[in-house]
Amino acid sequence: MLRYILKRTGGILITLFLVSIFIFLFIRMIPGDPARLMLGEKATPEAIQAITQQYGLDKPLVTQYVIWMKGVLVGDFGTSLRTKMPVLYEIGLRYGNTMKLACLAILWSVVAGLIIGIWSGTHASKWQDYTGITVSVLGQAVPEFWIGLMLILVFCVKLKWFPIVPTGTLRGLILPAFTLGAYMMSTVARFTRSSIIEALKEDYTRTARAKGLRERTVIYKHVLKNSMIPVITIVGMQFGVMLGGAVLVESVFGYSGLGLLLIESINYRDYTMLQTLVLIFSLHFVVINLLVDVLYAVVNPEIRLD
Amino acid sequence: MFKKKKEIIVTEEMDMNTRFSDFLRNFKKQKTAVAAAFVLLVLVVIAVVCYKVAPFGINEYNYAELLQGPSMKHWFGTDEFGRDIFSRVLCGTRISLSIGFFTVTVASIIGSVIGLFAGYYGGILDGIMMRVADVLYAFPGLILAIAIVAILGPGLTNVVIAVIIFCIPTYARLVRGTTMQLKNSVYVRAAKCIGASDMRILFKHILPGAIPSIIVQYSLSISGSIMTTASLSFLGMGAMAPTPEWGLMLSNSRTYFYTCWHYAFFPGMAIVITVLCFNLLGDGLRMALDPKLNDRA
Repeated sequence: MLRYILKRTGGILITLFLVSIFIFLFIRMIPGDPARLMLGEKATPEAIQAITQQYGLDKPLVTQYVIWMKGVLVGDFGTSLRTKMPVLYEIGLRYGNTMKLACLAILWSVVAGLIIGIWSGTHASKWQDYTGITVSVLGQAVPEFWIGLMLILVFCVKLKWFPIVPTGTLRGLILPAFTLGAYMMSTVARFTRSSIIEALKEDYTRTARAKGLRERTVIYKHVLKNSMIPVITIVGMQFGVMLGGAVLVESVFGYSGLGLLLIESINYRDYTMLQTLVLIFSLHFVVINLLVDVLYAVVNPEIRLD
Repeated sequence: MFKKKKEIIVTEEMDMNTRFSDFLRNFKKQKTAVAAAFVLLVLVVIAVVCYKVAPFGINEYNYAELLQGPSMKHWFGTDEFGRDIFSRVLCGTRISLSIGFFTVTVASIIGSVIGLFAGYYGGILDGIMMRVADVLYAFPGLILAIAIVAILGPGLTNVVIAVIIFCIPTYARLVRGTTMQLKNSVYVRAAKCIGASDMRILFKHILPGAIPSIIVQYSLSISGSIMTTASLSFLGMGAMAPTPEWGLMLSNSRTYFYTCWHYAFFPGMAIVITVLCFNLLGDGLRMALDPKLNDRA
């Protein structure tokens, strides 16, 4: 097991190294002089000179990368071009907000997705199943930003149940978290359903029934346990979609998190912030996927063996 | 020797034909997918004729009728310049569908060629290509597209480039997998024995085997591409005013949204219907190509 984890972590480290090179080249890929891009058209030659030296832009690319990486490894991501504060400080202010939103969204979507999926899967080709399928098919086709707008319209403007601008309270988080989780809920429901239908055909299910176990015990003790593996995988894979969705949801609700920060830094051409945010997003994504792989290996010994 | 070659080709062609008729028969059983295909056909027709049939011009300003609700004259109401939202949504179909088809077609061709070569030759080439795909995969969905647009600058052309880059790895991996499977199959080895060139093997013998999965992915990718384009436009990085792009219309509607629901409602519905149909079609195609999957949704 330890060997498997080490092997996977090694693979992830290589990917992260390549990702860091890609992100490093990020600012350098923008056509034109980065210093001028950062400072705008009206910058004085002295200011451009200063920025060029500050970022070591006159040094060879490899040296620049080493300098940048050294900073990144000790947590120094540079200063935001917009606020002149350390990038990490700005991110720290918003980080908790996005995490609260994402955790709440994952929580409700996995719970609801499992319930709908189990309900559909155990009533295959009956009306419960068709309702479940309809909900999940719709959930995957509706853009986050549109659900968000429609929810605000109904619950904040017409019914006045929730504040229009979400505050940090749980009450303010309900609509954004619902919006963000809708896609994940549909995906979890679909995978749970198909996985349960597969498991119901297995020999161990027949054995469990033949033993005279109650249907409820068969489903929850035998079928569900075995059908969770693909569901775990899909939750991990969907996490990335959710991080992207957070950008849209935060923008719709004006919720102050990393997604909104990303949009703001693009609008203000705050490249150091942008670079760090993209790095942080992909780091989260990759680490979550690693955790999912490990969890997968824990529940399914076959994976560990090869 | 020549006779043998002919035989192989003939049996292969017969195989393809029977597979195609099987596929058609299975596809017809998927009622929702057939319905979705029909709706998509209607949408394509709309995309072609939209400028001719739209009751108003897309940029026909009418300051006497600002932000009016749906009526007999303006089915979907009017926007902040008194433009007819129905006409704009109709014409938005052309933008979304053409971007969807174009980006995914280009991405699937580039990705498939990369996958074919990587899977067939293996070695360093394969290693490099798959590493690049890994790196692109390490960026969560939309974030990659946003990052690319941030580098290239806003605008629909750059969105198209971003979406293409974003779709390529999916096809590269898909085709690479099939290629590695088919590389050692009997008919590919037979083709090699009779001296077929690598190019002929790749494009005449291996590629057809990958086509079914490419088609399924094609339909699903188009809905992803349309959604990404609309999302980027919504965030202000895609289409620029006064283009009648659905995402951009939704974005503009936010200012007026407390007083008029219709402005945000109809462009959103257009996105939902289009994406829904491509998803349903993709699911139906997948089930038709592999009937064993019938129970899986």
